[in-house]
Amino acid sequence: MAALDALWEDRDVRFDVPPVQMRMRPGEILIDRLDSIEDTKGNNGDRGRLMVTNLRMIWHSQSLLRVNLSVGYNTIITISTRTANSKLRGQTEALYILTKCNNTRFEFIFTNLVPGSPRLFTSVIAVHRAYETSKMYRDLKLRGALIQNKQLRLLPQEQVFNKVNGVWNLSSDQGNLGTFYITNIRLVWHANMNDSFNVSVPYLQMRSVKVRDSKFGLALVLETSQQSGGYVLGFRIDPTEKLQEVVKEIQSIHKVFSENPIFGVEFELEEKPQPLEEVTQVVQFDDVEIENEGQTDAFAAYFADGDKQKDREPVYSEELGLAIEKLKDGFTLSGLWEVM
Amino acid sequence: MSLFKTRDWWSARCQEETFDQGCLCVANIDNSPNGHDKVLIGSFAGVLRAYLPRPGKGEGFKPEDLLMEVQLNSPILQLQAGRFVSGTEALHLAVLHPRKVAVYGISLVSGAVEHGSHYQLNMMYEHNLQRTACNMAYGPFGGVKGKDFLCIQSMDGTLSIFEQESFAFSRFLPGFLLPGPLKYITRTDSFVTVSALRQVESYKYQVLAVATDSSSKEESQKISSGKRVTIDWSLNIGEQAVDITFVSFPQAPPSILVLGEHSLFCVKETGQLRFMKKLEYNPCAFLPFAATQDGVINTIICTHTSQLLVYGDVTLKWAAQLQHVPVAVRVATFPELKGVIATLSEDGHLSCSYLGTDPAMFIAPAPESRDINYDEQDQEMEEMKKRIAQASQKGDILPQKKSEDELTITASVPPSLDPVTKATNPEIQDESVPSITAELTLKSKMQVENVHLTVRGYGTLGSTQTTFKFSYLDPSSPPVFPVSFYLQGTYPPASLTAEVSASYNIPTGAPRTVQTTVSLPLSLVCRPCMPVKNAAYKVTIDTNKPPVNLNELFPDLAGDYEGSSGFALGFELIGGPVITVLASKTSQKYRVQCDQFDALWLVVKELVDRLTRHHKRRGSSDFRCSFVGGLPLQEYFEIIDAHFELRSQTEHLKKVLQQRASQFRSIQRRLLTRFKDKTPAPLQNLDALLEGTYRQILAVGEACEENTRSLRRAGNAVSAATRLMNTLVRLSFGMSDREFAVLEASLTPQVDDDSEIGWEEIVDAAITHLLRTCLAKSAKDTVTNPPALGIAKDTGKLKKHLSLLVDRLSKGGSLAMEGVPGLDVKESDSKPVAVKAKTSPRNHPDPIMEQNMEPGEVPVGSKLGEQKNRKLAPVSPRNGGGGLKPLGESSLPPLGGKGSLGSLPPLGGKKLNDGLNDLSKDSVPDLDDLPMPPTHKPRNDIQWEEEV
Repeated sequence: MAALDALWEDRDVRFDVPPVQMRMRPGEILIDRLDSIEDTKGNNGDRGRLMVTNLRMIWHSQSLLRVNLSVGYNTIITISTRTANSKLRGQTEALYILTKCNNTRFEFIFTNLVPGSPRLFTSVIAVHRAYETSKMYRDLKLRGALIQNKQLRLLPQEQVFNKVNGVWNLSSDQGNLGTFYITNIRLVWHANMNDSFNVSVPYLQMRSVKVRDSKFGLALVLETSQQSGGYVLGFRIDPTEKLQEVVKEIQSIHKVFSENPIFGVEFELEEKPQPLEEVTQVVQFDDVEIENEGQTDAFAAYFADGDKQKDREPVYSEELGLAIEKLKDGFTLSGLWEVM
Repeated sequence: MSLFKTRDWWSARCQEETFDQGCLCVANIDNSPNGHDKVLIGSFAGVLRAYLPRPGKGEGFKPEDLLMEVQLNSPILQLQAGRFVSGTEALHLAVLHPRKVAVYGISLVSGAVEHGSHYQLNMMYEHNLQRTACNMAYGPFGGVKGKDFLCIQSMDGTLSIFEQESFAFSRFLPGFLLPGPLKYITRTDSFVTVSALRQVESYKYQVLAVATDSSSKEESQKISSGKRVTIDWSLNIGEQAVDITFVSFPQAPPSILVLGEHSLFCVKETGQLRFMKKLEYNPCAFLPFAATQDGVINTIICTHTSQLLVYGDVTLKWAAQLQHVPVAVRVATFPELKGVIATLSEDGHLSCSYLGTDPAMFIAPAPESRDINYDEQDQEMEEMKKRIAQASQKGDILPQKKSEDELTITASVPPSLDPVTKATNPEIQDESVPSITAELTLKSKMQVENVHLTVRGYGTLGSTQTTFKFSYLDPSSPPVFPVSFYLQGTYPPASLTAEVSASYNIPTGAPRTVQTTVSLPLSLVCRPCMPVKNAAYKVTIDTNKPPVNLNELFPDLAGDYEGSSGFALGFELIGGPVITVLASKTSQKYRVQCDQFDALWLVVKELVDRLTRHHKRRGSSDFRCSFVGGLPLQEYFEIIDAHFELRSQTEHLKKVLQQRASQFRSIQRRLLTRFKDKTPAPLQNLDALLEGTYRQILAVGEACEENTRSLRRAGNAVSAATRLMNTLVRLSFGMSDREFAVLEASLTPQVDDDSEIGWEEIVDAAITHLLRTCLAKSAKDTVTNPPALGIAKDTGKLKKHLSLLVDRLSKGGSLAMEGVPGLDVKESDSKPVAVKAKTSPRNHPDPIMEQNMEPGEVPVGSKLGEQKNRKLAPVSPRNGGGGLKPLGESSLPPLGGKGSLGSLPPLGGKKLNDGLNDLSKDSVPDLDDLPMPPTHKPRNDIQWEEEV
C-alpha cells in the first residue's frame, strides 16, 4: 500500500540515479526513445539516449550509463525551443526545459544530433501536454467542477463501478449529506446540496482506507498521500454493513489499481512502434549497485539561476509598492537597479 | 533578456482553456473580515475559479487553494467585483457573458477542517443582453452613494446602463467603428474610451442619460436610433489602446492612464496630456498600482517579450523576466504578503510572483568532466591537430567550388556570318546589318535546376534572344541553342564581345552562377572597302618580324579588293568611318589610319591579335608588337572633352527642364486661383503663357533625349579610345599582364553615364591614386590626402593627371600595386628628364606641326612659354595639323554611300603599291624614315608639374 506513496517519477528531478530507478514502474510506459540526444547543458559533447515515458523523461549517456537524468513532467514550468550551442552540432535548435523541484529551479537543454529531425520536440512537447491535461487522473481535487447536471463528469478512461447515496462527509460539525462515486480511477464524493462542495481522490493518492471509530460513530477514514496534502477524510454510511461493503470495495479496487495504475496519459504513435525485442534489449542494467548517495554534485550544472539553490523569502518593498525578494545585507533596491 | 527574474510565489495551471484581458479579478469577493484578496479567473470555456494562494504551507499549488470551480453555461468575457446588489454594500461578482450579465454572491460555509469548508455561488440577478457584449465598466454612476452600476459596451458601440437589478437606458456612441477599452471616472462622472479614431473620448454620464429620444417614452435595450451624444472632450493619441485605467491615489494627481500599442499616456481627467512615454516594445497588459512617492504614479507594464517593467511616471524603476506573456496583471494583498503581482497568461498560467533581486549573471560552469578516457582524448587531439595542420597548409580558405557543381557554358562562333541576316529591329534602316549565329551549349555533370541564362551584347550589339529559362537541366542531353548577334545601334560598339551568364541551383538548393564571354568577329560590324589614302588619325605599330601580307592576315575581310598587293586594306565600319590598314613593304611596321580617332580601336586590336596569332602559328614565339612615338594624348583629350561637354549639357538641360516645370506649375497655380474665384478675373494671357511653357517643356525634353543619345555615343567613343590608349600604352612601355590589369582598372574602359559621378571623375580619382602610390615621385606625394570624389567642373585636372601618368610611365614607373605602395618605383627613374626634349608632345609626324611646336625656342617655366604652349596646344591639332580636321560629325566625309569612294583612284595590282608609296611620300613620311622619338616629357607637363 505504502509503495504508491513513493510515486516520485513525475514529481521529481533526479540526477545520476541508480539503474533500479531508471526502470519503468508499473503503469509507466515508454512512449519514445531517441538515440542521439545531447544533454547540452550538463554533458555537452556527449552522445546520449532520451527516453520519453508517460511520467518523465530519462536521459543517459551512451558511454556511461550512470551519467543520467530523470525529469518528471510535474516539475516542468515551461518547455520551449531555442537556439543553443552544442559541441557536437554547433548552433542548433534545442529543447529548453525549465523545471522547479523543491524550490530549486533547474534548466535542461537537449539537442537532437540527427539534423532536421523534429522528433525530439514533437514527442516531448506532445507527451508533456497530454500529461498536463490529464491531471484529474493523478491529483486530488477539492471543490472542483466535477458534477454537471447532477452527473459525474467522467474522464476518458473512467468507468463508474458503484454509486453510493447517503454518505455523510464528516468534515464539518453538522456533517454534509452527499454521494459517493466509485470508479476505476478515483473515489468521488459530492454534497447533494452544493455541487461545488466535493472531493475527488484518485487511488494513486490514497494512502489508506479504513473503518475507524470517530465521534460520529464508525466511519470510513481515508488518508491521502503526503504529496497531495496528507488529508484525512471521514465519511459515515449507514447502516454499518453498507459501510463495510463500500470500504471493502474501495480497498480491493485500490489494490488492483496499485498493481496496474492508470496514469491517464494517452498517446498514439504515428510511427510504427519499435519491435518488441529492441525495446526489451534497451538497457543492460548492472546487477551491482554502487552506493554513492549524497556524493553526486551533478545537479550543479543544471541550476537555472546560477549557483542559487533557493530564492530568499519575499518582503514588501515600500519603495516599489510591490513584493520583492529580500535583499542581501548591504544592498539597496535603487543601488542594485542603478548599477545596471 | 532581463538581468532579474520574477520569483514564483504561487501558481496554478488551467490547461486547454483560453483567457483574455478581463478574465482576471483580484478582490475580497467573499467579504471575509480579514480583507484578504482572492484571485478569480473566468475562461472563455465558461469555467469560473476562485483561488486563495497560500504558499506558506508547502510547495506550490495545493488542492485546498482552489476555493471554487464552477462550469457556467457560456463563455466568460469579464469579471468585475463591486457593490452590485441593492440593500448591501458587500462585494459581489459581475460576470459578463456575450449575451448575458450575471451578478453572483460568493459565500463561505466553513467546516471543521480546511477541506471541509466550501463556497457557495448564488446568483443574485441576471440581465439578458440584446446585443453581443464586448466589455463593461462599473461605478457609482451619477454620484450615487454606496452602490455600483454597470455599463456594458456592445460590439456595435451601444452603451447599456444597468442600475443594479433594473435596466436604465441604452445609448449609441457617435462615430463608432470598433469597441475600445471603457472605464468610468468617478470624479467627473463620465466614461472614457479610445475610439477607432484613435482618440481618447470622454462622455458625461448626465449627457448620456438625458440624450433620450423624445418619441419613445420607455427606455429599452432594443433601440435602433437615438440622439447624437456629444463628446465632453477628446484627445488624439494616434494609436489604438490596449487598456485604460483611471487612478486617484492620495499622493498623486488623479489621472487617466492609457496604454497604447507603443506608448503610455497619462491624461488629466479634463483631457489634457500630463505625460507620455514612448515604449520600445509591444506591451500586452498594464496596471497603475500605487503612488509611493509624491506625485509619481507607479505602473506595471508587461510586454510580449515576457518582461515586467515597473515605471514611476516615465522612469523605469525595475524590470524582470516573466515566465509567460500575460494578458492581465493585478496586484494583490494576501495574508502572508502584500504587493504580490498576479498575472494570467492567455493559455491559463496563473501565477502570483514577486520581484527577484539576484541578477542572473552567473552561468554555472560545467562540473569537472567525469571519467575522462585519456587515451581516447589524446587520439582525438592528434586527429584534430592533423586536420588543423592540413587545413592551414592550404592558403585559400574560401570554400572551393566542387567541379561537379559547375555548369559550363560553351559558345561556338562560326568563322563566317549568317548567309541571311537575322537582325531584328536594327536602328540602321537603309542598309542591311549582318548577323552571326553562335551556338551556346550548357553542360553540367549533375542535374541542376532553375537555370536562367542571360545573353547581353556589349554596347550597341544586340542579340535575337536575351533570356532563356530551363526548369532543370538533364546532364545526359545538354541543350544547344543558337543566338544571333548583330549591330543594333547606329554606331559600332567599343568592344566586340557578348556576355553570357547563367544562374542556377544545384540539387541541394544552393544557388550558383557562371559567366562566359563570347568574342565576335570584326566582320560583324565592318565590311571591306577601298583603302583611303589620307586620314586624320594614324597609329603605327612596330614589330620585330618582317611584314605579313595583309590579305593573308585578313582573309575574311579582303573582300572584292582581293588581288591587291596586300599592303593596304580598307574597312568600312557599319555606321562609322573607313579605316585603312597599311603595311610597310620594307620595314616591319603597320599603320592604321582613320578620320575618327576612336574608330581606330577595333581595327588596331584586330591587327595586333591577328599578327600575334599569325606569328604563333608560324612557330615564332618571340614576336613582339610595340608602339613607338608619343602617345596620341591630344586626340584622346578631344574625345574626353566632347564627352564631358555632353555631360555638362545634360546637367544644363535638366536644370532648364526643372525651371520650366516649376514655371509651368506656378502658371497653373495662378490659373487655378482665377478659375476658382467667384468673381472671374481676366486671364491676362496666362493661358498663352501656359501653352508656351508647355511647348518649351516638350522641346527641352526632346533635347534632353537627343542629348542622352549623343552622350551614349560619346561614351562609347570614350570607351573605345580608352581601350586604344591602354593598348598603346602597353605596347609603348612593354607592360606585363599584371601591370596592364592595373592600368585597365584605373583608366577604365567602362563608361557609365547614368550616375552622377561619371567616367571622368572615377578615372581621375583612380589615376590620382596611382600617382600618389606606385607612381609617386617623392614622399610628399604619398602623404597628401585625396580630395573627395565630386562632380568635376572641367577636364583640365583629368588631362593633367593623364599626361602625368603617361609621363611617369615613360620614365620607367611601374604599376606594381602589391606590397608597400611605391616600393617598385625606382628613385632614379622618377627624376625629371632633361627639359630640352626635342619632340612634340604627341605622336604627330606632321612636319608643320613639328615646327609649330618647336619647344627649344622657349625657356621652360617662363610665362611666355606657358602662354605660348597653352595657346598652341588646343589650336595646333585643328588648324595647324596638315591632315587634321575638326572633330565633329558634320565635317566628316559622307560615309554611307559607296559613291564617294568611287572617286578614289582604283586600287589594284601594282597601282596600289605605287599609291601607297605616293602616300608615304606625300603626307606621311615614309614609315622607315620615321624618327624614333625618345621617350620624352610633353611640354605641357613640365609646366603642370611646376604648378602641382
